[in-house]
Order: sequence, then C-alpha cells, then structure tokens
Amino acid sequence: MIAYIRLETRKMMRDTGYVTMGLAIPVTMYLLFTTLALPPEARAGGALWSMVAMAAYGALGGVFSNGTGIAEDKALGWMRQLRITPITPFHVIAGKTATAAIIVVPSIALVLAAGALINRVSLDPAQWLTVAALLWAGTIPFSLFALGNGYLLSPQNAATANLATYIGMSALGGLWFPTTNFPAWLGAAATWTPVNNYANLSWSVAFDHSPDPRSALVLLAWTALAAGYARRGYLRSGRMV
Amino acid sequence: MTNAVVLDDVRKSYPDVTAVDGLSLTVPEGQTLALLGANGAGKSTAIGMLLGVIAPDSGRALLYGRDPAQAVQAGMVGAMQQEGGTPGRVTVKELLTFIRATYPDPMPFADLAAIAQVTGLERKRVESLSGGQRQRVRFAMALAGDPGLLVLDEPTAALDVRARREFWAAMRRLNERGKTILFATHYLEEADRHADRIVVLAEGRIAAEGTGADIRARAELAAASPLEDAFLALTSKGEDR
Repeated sequence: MIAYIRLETRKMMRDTGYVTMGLAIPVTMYLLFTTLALPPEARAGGALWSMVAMAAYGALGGVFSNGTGIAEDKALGWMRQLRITPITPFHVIAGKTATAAIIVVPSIALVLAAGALINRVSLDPAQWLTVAALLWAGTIPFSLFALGNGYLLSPQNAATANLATYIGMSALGGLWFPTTNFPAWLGAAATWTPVNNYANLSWSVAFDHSPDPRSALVLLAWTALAAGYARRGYLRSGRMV
Repeated sequence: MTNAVVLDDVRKSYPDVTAVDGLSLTVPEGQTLALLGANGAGKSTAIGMLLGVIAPDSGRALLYGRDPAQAVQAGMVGAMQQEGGTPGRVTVKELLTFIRATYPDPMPFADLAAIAQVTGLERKRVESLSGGQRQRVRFAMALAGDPGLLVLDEPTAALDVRARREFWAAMRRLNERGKTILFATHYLEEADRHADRIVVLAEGRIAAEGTGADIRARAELAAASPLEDAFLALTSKGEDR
C-alpha cells in the first residue's frame, strides 16, 4: 500500500488541477485580500482570519482534485487494471484517502507560511500546531465526499460536481467573505455547512484559544454522512468497474 | 497435475445479450491455450469471469483450485484485459515499479524490461507513448509479478509485425519456463502457430477445440486448408455445433 500511496502522490503532484486549485490560487488570493482589501486598522485580525480561510480553501482544492482523479483513473481503465493486481480494493480506497491526507499538507503549509512570514501573523506555538492539525484532520469528510463523487460519476461529471461543490461550499461556508456579512437567514444557514464548521474549528483556536465544540459536532455529523456516501460509491464501483 | 484454470459451466447475460452461455474449460499447468473467436463471441467476458472481475450468473471459475479473486491477491496471475489501462502522469518505470511492489516475488526489473521490450522507455510518461509502446507496457504490467499464469486478452493488438514476432518469441520462452498462458485472439494464424490447444468460441459456447489440425478435421477440411475456412464453417450461424 505504501507503493500505491507513493505512486498516487506523484501523480497528484503533477496534476495541474491540484497545483492550481490546491497550491497557487489560495496563496495568491490570500496575499491579494490581505494587502489590497484590508484597511490598516483591520489588517492584523484580517490577516489571521483570512490565513485560516485560505489555508482551508487550498486544502479543499487538494482533496477535490484527488476525488476527480479517481473518476479519471476509472475512465482510463486504471481502476480495472488495479483489480487484477494483488492490491485489494480496500487498500486502493485507503491509499487514495491517505494520498489526500498527504497532498493537503503543502496546501496548508504554504498559506500558513505566507501568513507568518509575509503578514507577520503571530500565534503562540500551541495555536500554530492546533490550527495546522485541525485544518489537516478536518479535510477527512471532504476527502470522502470527493472520492464518492469520483467513484460514482463519469470524469466530466465528477470534475463538475467537485468544482461546483468546492466553490459553492467555500462561498457559503464563509471562506471568501465572513458569514457575518451575509443576510441574517443565510448567515444562520451557513453555520450548519461543513466548510464553515471546518474553518471555524481553526478560527476559534486562532482567536479564542480553544476549538468550538459545536463546530466539532456538526463536522463529525457531516463526516458520518460523507463516509456513508464514499462507501456506497466504492461498493457500486466494485460491481461495475 | 494441477489445473491452472477451471471454468465450470459459467454463464453471463447482459440485458441485451447472452455473452457466455454455459462454458466449461480446463487449462492444465504449463499449457498455452488460445481462445479464438470473432468479436462478441464471449472471449472477454469469459476472461473477466476467470479473473474474478465479472461475477458469473451461474457456474464457477477457479484458478489453481481457488476463488479467482484470492488467486489474484496471492499474486498467482498476471493479466492484460481489453478494458484495462494505464494511469496518467506517471513514467513507465514508476508504473512498473509499483506493479512489481504489489507482488510477493516479482521479476527483476531488467529482465522484465527486456522480455516486454520496454527498455529505453523507462523514463517516458505513459500517456506520451504510441499505441504499440503502450501495449508493451500493458504486457509488462501482466508479467511484472512473474506469476505462474498469464491471461492475455488480444495481446498483439496494436503491435507491428516485428513487435508481434518478438512478442511470440518471448511467450515461447515464458512457456518453456513453465508458465501457463491463456490468450484470446481473433487472429487464426496466431492461435494455430502459438497455442498447444485452441478453443473456438461462438455465441458464448465452445464451437470446437483441439489443435489446429483437429479443428480442420472436425470441419472436414484437408490438412493444408487455411484454418480460416474451418473457423468460418464451425462458427457461422445454422451450422451444427
């Protein structure tokens, strides 16, 4: 399985979708927002808030690209080829999930580094560690959902579904503009979305020193749903591939 | 002697067609068997069932006395399927290194590259290869684990005359090393020249089997007749099978 993770990680590092959505765009947007859009008095808080938002946005770009990759592999006959090698179908999905967990690391690290080095964001060491760890672990439900799409849908449909979900959930989850700027009803709805709770875990650590338990619970509920969806996709593709 | 392959009255229907209609077949270890048939005769479905990637509606398939999926996971089989393919964004070397790592006792890389004629392609990206080169990589994937049984569905499709000749020379050496080889083809001459035994499939059933000479005799043709005449006589509709 290590060999499979190594192969898949290599493939992702060469995937222009991942390099664009997971690495280049989030850090660029972060630097644009913080240097052009923030008035001086809001700069310190804004740089921290936006750092978490764009690190989350980059990590999500990585996991959605990874999920789309499954649909491409299916269309190329690679999933079918894997079925006749000794690697078990379970190890394939576990390996692909592990790949997602690896490729989100540079996405998160890049934006956090830009925050620390360019925008002089200052957190204590425990906060840095917790923020990074929560941004990393919180990608699991999104990773499972994106893999489910990859298993169930054709490459074009998976790419469209993953991109639409990625952009839509990021906007609704308040990664681009805080949900406090939304109309009241939309802001209330946003607090139930997976992306908002994912980012809020790290925002609450960055601003208040402890993760918000409500966000943890809501995200866990979404994780259970996403795991069910990925499992369904995997079982169905096992019959069809 | 152990049987490498047993198909016991397997049947598989799709909504619009009966692909395999009660096929029984036994391949003893060390034999080279050709599955000969026109397009749609059921060759690929039969191969899918014996590899455990297509579930038969009834009957059963055994590889070395085991369930096919177990034999595949134990690394006893290497295969080229029609629907099998290669992934994007990896080099030939990376791909074959991964496949080798999934088997318990793989073939040394240099031997593999020489036998499958992929020497000199190692550093190329798989998606940049020509059709014939990619076909050789697919053969290399089947061979990488040095399994006892090779199952090859139309292995020489896309190969030019020289590559085809070298492919069969390699197959002969592998057979001399004790490998069991089952290949599907619609090239009569290949079956006649390279197989110990030919099984002619038509409409999912065995229309004839034996050596090329047996099959000519069965169709009541002179020994010097082209096998093609026997094939057409035995597989055309309305003939007594």
